[in-house]
Amino acid sequence: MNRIRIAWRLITRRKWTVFLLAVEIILSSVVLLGMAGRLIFIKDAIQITETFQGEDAYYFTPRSYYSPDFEVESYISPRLREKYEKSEIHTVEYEKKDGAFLNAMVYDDFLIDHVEIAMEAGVWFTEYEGEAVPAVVIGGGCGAGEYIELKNGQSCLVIGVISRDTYVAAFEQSASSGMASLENLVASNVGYDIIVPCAGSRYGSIRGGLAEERQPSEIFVIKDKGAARALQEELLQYGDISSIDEMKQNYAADNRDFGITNGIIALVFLVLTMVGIGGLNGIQSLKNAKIYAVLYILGLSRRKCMILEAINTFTVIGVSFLVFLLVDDKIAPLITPVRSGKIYGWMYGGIVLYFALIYLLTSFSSIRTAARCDVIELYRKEKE
Amino acid sequence: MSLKLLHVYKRFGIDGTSNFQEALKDVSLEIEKGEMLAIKGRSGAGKSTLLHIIGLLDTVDEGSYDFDGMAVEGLDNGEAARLRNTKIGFVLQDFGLIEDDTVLYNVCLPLMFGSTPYKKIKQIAADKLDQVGIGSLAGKKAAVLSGGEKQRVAIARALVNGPDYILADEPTGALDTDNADKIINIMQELHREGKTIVIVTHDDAVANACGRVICMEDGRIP
Repeated sequence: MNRIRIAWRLITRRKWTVFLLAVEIILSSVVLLGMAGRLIFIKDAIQITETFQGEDAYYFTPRSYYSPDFEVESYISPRLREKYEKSEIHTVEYEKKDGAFLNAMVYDDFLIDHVEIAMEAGVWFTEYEGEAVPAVVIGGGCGAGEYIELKNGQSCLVIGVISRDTYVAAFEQSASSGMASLENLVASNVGYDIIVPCAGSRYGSIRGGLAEERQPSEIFVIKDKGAARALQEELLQYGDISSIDEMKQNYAADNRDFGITNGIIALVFLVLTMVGIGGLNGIQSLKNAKIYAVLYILGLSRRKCMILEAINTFTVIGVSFLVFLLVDDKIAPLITPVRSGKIYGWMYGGIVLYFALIYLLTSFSSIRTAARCDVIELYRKEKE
Repeated sequence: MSLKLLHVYKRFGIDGTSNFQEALKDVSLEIEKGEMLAIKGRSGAGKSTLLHIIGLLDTVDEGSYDFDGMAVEGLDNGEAARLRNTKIGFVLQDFGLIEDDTVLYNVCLPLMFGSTPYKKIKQIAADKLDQVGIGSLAGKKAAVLSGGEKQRVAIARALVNGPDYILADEPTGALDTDNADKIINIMQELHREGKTIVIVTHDDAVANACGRVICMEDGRIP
């Protein structure tokens, strides 16, 4: 207890340096967490580029002035109608047996067969071979193997779980002719609870949804390559269209640039925090060196001096990090306007370890320096 | 109980070379319990090095050192630190105080390495401050004290653990004559109480106040 009191004195007697260190740790944590999240997102996003591999597919969005019920195929020339396959997403609300509502994204078989989604647990529909109607849960609530009972007497079996921030095909954004990226057809943190197959799907389906809507965009897959140009021209009369291949290329290019830019920024920032925090802590440690010299003369062993410095260090890091956890949500938007990406628990641990490493290296190096020279000479130098 | 050094050598490396300088050469010295000893000599004669070895702040390169019957060569760092803390009180020329802490906290420090309750530590420290005549300064920051007051704080701190040995390195070096006299008087009083006192000094007045004086020259006691 007395030693903690000494460590606390060491902290409070340099309170402005400690305050600056704490602020630097908090700001650095916010930025580093955001960057780590974005870099992880880029890594995960590469998986989406595998979507619709080998298909001559187009992402189409009708012009906004058309009604939600607009069916472009009604306007396509009869000669082209047999030459494509269409994929769309519907959203449906179901009422569960317990009275709660379930918002579902309904995928057709084409989409189920082509999208690549990272599972957190269980399997995707294509790997399911059971008899029950399958469902994939978004963001937990139910585990794989559990049944969801609906009020209309039907039920579905949860075969897989994906995390809330996983990217799924959503078809929410416009195709933005030629300029779209795969990011336009996927979304994370969607406001839906499950993904289920559509009516007539070979995987089985649930009937009796309460409110059904169609997502604004859809995908056309050309079966006859010779008809591609003609179909594109007709679709362009009614909306924006982008080739999935182009979208993948745009997406890959965006991600590459995004990754390089963020990687460089992250690296520069890591070096800056290392120099900033290490330097500031190094100055504080050098100032404390005289005190350690005095404590050594008074009978504290060097090992105990190091323990004292460790208590000192971890108190500053610990308190700063707790403050960071409290204020992160409030100040993160001010520093990193878009915190896109995935934030995992281990990232927080990684950041704490990173700071602890900088602190320990700078603090202990100054004590080691003190240990190597004549402590009274060191004391005298500090005095001067 | 005594301190015995036999044929002690201490060498320091010379910066930037592989050569060594001998700070102590074949030094043998015995300090009896209750003795008040002055070590005199010019700068660089090895007085402070000898005091550091006596005070277990440094180790010998050759020879032997017997501290109250214990061979110092056999002590690990922790044991040496414990002996420094419980058996030795240091008084330094530059006082060795933590300037921006209070006088009382400075005096409490040596006791805070152990498990004595802080309340009791503060009581003991306050008593020691009274003993050296500066009890009223307990709550002041060390930085605002005069040189003489600081040195008395340093002496109170040296006494707080009830050590057998007081080692003082130029205790009057930074003080005027009046304050130097006061410090010498306090040292003599401690000597009368039975403490063993070793003082490194340039000052003849301080040396003359001691029962025995040894002069060092070029790392040796002639």
